Amino acid sequence: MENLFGIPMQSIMIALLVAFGLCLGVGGWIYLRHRIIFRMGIRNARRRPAQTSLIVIGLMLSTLIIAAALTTGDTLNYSIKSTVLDILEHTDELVVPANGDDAEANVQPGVTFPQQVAADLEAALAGDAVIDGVMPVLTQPVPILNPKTQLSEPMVTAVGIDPAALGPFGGLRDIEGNDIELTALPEGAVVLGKTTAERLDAVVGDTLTVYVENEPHDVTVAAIASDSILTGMQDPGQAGGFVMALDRAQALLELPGQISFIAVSNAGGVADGAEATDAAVTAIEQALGEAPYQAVRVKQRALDMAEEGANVFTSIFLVLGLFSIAAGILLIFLIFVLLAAERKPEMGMARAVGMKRRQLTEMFLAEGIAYDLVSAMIGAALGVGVAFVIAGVMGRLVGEFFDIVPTAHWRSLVVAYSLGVVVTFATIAISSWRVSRLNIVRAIRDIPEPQRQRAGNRWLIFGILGVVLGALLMWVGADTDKLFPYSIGISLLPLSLAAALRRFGLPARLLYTVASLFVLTYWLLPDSLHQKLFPVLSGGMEMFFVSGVMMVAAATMAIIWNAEVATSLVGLLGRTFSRWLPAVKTAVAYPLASKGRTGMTIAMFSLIVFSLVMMATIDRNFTELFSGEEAAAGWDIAATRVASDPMPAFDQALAESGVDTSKVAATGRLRQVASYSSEIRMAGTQEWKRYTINGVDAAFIEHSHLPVKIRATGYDSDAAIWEALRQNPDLAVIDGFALEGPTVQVGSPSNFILQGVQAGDTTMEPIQVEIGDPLSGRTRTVTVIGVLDPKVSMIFGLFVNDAAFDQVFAQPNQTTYYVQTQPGTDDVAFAKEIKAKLIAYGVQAESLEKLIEQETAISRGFLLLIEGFMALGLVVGIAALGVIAFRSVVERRQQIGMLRAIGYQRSMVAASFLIESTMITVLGVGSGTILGLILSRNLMTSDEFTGSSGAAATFLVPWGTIALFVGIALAAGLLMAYIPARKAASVPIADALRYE
Amino acid sequence: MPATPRSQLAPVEAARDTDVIIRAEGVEKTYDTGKLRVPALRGVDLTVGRGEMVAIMGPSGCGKTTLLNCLSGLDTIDKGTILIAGTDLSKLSDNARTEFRAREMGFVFQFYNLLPVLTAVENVELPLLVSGVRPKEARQRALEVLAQVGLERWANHKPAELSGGQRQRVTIARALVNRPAIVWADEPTGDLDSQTADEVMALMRELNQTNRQTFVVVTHDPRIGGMCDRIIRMQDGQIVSDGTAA
Repeated sequence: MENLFGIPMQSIMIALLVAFGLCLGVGGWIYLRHRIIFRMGIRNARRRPAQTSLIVIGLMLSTLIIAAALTTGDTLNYSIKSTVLDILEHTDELVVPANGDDAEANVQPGVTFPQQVAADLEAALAGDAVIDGVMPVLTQPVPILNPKTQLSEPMVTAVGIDPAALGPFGGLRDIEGNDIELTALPEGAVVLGKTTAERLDAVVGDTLTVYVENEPHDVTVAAIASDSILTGMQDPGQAGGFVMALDRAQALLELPGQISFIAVSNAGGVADGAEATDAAVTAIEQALGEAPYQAVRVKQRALDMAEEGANVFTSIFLVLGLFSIAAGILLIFLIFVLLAAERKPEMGMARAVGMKRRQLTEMFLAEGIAYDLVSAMIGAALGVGVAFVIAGVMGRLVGEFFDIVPTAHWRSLVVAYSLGVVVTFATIAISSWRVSRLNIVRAIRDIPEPQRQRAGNRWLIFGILGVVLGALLMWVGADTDKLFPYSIGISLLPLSLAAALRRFGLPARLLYTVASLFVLTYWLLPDSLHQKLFPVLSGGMEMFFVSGVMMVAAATMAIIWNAEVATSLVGLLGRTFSRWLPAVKTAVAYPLASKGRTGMTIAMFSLIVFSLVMMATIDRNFTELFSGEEAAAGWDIAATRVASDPMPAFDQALAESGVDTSKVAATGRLRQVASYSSEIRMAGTQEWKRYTINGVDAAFIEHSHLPVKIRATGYDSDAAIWEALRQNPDLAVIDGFALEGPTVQVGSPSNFILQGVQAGDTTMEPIQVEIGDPLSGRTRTVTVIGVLDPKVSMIFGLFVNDAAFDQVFAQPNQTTYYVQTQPGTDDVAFAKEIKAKLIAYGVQAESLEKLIEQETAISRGFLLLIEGFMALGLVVGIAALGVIAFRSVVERRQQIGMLRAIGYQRSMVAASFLIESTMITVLGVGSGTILGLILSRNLMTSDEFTGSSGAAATFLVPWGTIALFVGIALAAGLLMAYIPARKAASVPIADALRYE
Repeated sequence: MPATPRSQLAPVEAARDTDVIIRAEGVEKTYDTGKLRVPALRGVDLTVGRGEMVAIMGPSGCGKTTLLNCLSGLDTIDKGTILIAGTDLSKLSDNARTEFRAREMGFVFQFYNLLPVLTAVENVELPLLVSGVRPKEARQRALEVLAQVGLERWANHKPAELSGGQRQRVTIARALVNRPAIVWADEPTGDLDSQTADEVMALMRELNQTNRQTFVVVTHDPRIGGMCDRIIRMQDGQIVSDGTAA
């Protein structure tokens, strides 16, 4: 990967290496200046191997997550780029009839131009140092059948290339690497692409039937070659095609003297050829002059998209991984607080005999660096392992399109390792400074710090700083229309104010409870109320993390300061089971007495569970939304046809081909022009944008169930909208993706946005837009009178009636015939029958239910993968429980001895530890679950989402998935507590009483 | 009540045998550290009568705390027998021994060993709850005993908010709350100044006489030993003298 969040990876690496060097420098400085301090720190790391192992596990998590995210990006980047280069080989640019901006322009099915253009271009570019090859290419989609196997493909690409121009494009080779001479092939012989051969189960020597203008033509398989643009594979996942000499292809396809595009090869190899794209495009444009053709940077564009795609995934994994990283930072802090508590008396002694506070900090830093360097190394290695597992899962999900090759780039590992070390070091430095501030006498005697009614000046200073920072962030956010700083500010301000007011003796419980409830209210208020009380600002994916951290912080504060109420319930339970009351009493008392460590552990669980519940809930609701009954608009089968040659009316074609039409209840036709072949703009504006445009016939309108989300004034029902559209070619309906949300902007900048109506609106004024065909230059104005409900997920774009469509577009990119079947029909089998019987017309028929299932399976697979990745954070919480439980046994050894002496059974001591761990886990998991559910409910029922997605009519809770997370967290928490609990129970009483 | 130090010891009278609550015969205990075997008790014979207040004294490392731990069943012995109110603790299961301890014994330690996270009354009521006494009754009794030791006003304070003497009084209250037959006290005044130590000992003495409970007090302080009925002196894991104060 070259960039991350828009910053070059090389720069990130250099900056992190400098920071890493500083961390090492600090360690080296301690070693050189205070060797004894350094040794004391290092020896501490070796004192308790079990505890050290837990610490290393906790510290490595951040590095693991960063390494896994970056390596996943590397894997995707490499895999997509490899696929792109395999397909394009030496082809760097295409020359096509001018049809729009460079970002969208492409080869268009059915659009051809004279071969002479290629000859002229080649002549003009002769001797150009940048370009080493120009080749005319003809491509047409055709249906194909293997009579031997009876397997067919309704749309493969027939390709004709000029054998004389093939040299600079690397020639043509079969899958075993043997050169193929196209001119030497006999008449009617073709070279079949690998994917097409597999789909047809065809081998060399087979005779295949190709349908051109509905007429069958036999071709013979002379060789099978790897998939590439030369064998008809233009994009990953397509069916591919076959190639033959250009003149024979022109004869077969009945397009003499015509080509579809000109392939251009830059000087250099497959990968480095793209580097000369800018120079090549300049040369091509000069050569083309005023001719109506344009150069398409096909390879550079694909490579950029690969980079962008990899970046998107890396960002998703990194942002979602932030929850685990945050929990990991809390764990590091907690570990050092516990280490300090354990060593308090010896630290007090060290201070008493002359060790300075700074030296205590250095001792902890030395110890921390030792943990840090080792754990980051393990984390980076395990992160690569996790990324490779992710790659395996992705391979199963998208293997049809891309061959996912697990790849780890050394630079990503350096970045992950350095970043892990630096983040951990910073946390260790802060916690070391904090633990060094101890009272020598109290430390030596191991007396707890006194609880003051009135907080010290430090609280006042930090509180005021927090209030100022919070107010500043709010102002910046409101001024720049950014939710991120505003929401942090409005959360920070009340919490800081509470801290400051403690200085004046106000009760901490009241202050923190009020402050945290305010923060929770801000985040959890329903959208409608929120918009009335607070400014509406723009935010992105990062808000997911910010909301989680702020709400969890506030909720944890509220829990900790009011835990007596919650724990009295546990006490009641203890009274019911009076035999266990003593165990419950001690189990409840200890965590309440250590608010800091208990709060941190609760927050860790809460953060992770919050993120998991949010993801699972959004996943469940979106899956339900897009795969619900309305997804296919009431149709059962979609029969799509790309070929432009004539075909009888669909019902007639079905009947004539012998399809059992008694199974057909209704049919409808939708002709579609893809976004790259169409133009659209708001009436009266200049800039053309892109959008899919559909022409629908009367039958389609009559038999579809197409709910309208936003109706224009004057139309009192969905039926009125569609009836008007059927009759009037001046009207249109558009889908919800064209709407602008109040805060979230999605999609490419060239995508059309309908002005004058927003997601969340319920009515609209009719809006005029202009649509056009860039090839013919014909345009037309239509009036949008409704916005389609996004629950209809299988049909999208702008809809006009046939008359309006025909006035603008010469031909569609594809035509889809929708079929409603009679009850009891096996749609999958019937779709197969339609596909087989209409093979001559190149009709690809699929059951819509099956298509929805397939699409849902891929998206759900990705979401589950991400949830699994996020669940890694649970390890942090579990490790924290383990650290606390182990530490508690050591810390309370003498008290355990006393409890045993006064009559606690072994089981009671063990139960006390287990109840304590369970209670902390339940509080963390419970608060995370509740926060996650409330926020996701607010999100799914907000105007923003109901408007653009149609969600939330019913809010669905994935109880099964949540129960699984909760169950895993509780079981793991119990398991982590079980070992120390057993250890505590088996402590010899006399030894424990002697323990100091 | 002021304590009266006694300087001279007299032999134990066999007449006490009729009301013996602690009987130890040939008790041996060795600590094995893996590299080193340290004999802590080497054939200890001892009897203590019901209602007696006995001091076990001797220099550091002589085995007095080990003897207290072994007698009270907190630690195991290698050889010999120990009968508490006629019950051989070594023959009981861990659970039965624990229950026996909860019912029949109370403990006072030098460093109080109170649970820092519980209030004074919660600390005191713990042995009752362990013994299955209903929470309401346990709380009532705990408050009564706290009143007995003069701490009713401090019932809802945590140990960190109490002075050393007050903490030890809470410990004594906790030891007495289940009305045990025997109270074991290991250096109960070791962490207190002399005035507070006197007050604590006076309290224990008073409770001993009022309730006729047996007190076994380990101490290295002759003044404390002098306040007991009888002093057992130990050296190198053996009893070297056993007698009442003259």
